[in-house]
Amino acid sequence: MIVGVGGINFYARTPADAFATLDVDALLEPAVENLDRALSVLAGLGYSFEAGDEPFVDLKDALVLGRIIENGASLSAVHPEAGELDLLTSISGFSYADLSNGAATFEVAGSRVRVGRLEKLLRSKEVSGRPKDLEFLRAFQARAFVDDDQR
Amino acid sequence: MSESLGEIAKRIESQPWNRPGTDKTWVLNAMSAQQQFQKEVRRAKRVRTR
Repeated sequence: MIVGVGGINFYARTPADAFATLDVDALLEPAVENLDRALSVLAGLGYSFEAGDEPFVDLKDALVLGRIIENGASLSAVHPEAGELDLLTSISGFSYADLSNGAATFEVAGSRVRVGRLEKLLRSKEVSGRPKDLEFLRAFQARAFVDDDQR
Repeated sequence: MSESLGEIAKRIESQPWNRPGTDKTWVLNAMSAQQQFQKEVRRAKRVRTR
């Protein structure tokens, strides 16, 4: 399920309404099998992985993958051309089940993609309390109000 | 969440371009192009000009 600013961008009307982001966040249902499957598929597509800016190579170590899940940690999948995809196993304010409930389904290149509800994605940023998230919310709100004025 | 932000979210979610199943391929393409642009900017900054 796509979350974060990348997920919020799915609700934009045009590219001009989208926000710049350096990565796309994908929230996985927190289970070792899911993380294992995601890593296998992405590795097959030419992605390499990082954890905390260090190379991550324990792709098949169930113990290590289990710890990632337990800690609600994330891994970055990096591709020289396709860019960066962050694999999250947790998100502020919501469990996977909470976020999955009512998630939107859109189509991307012929495939169905699930995206967290906009209201929940914004609330997650608010709950995180990180300065960059709060700054994003101010920008989002300001842009939405500008759009209102222009309609 | 502040009420106004929640209202904005609901209004945007209900717009026709956010109907379930809408083709959003352009979103990933736009984000990929943005990432590529930022990558080129970082590469250009590393190049010595003198």
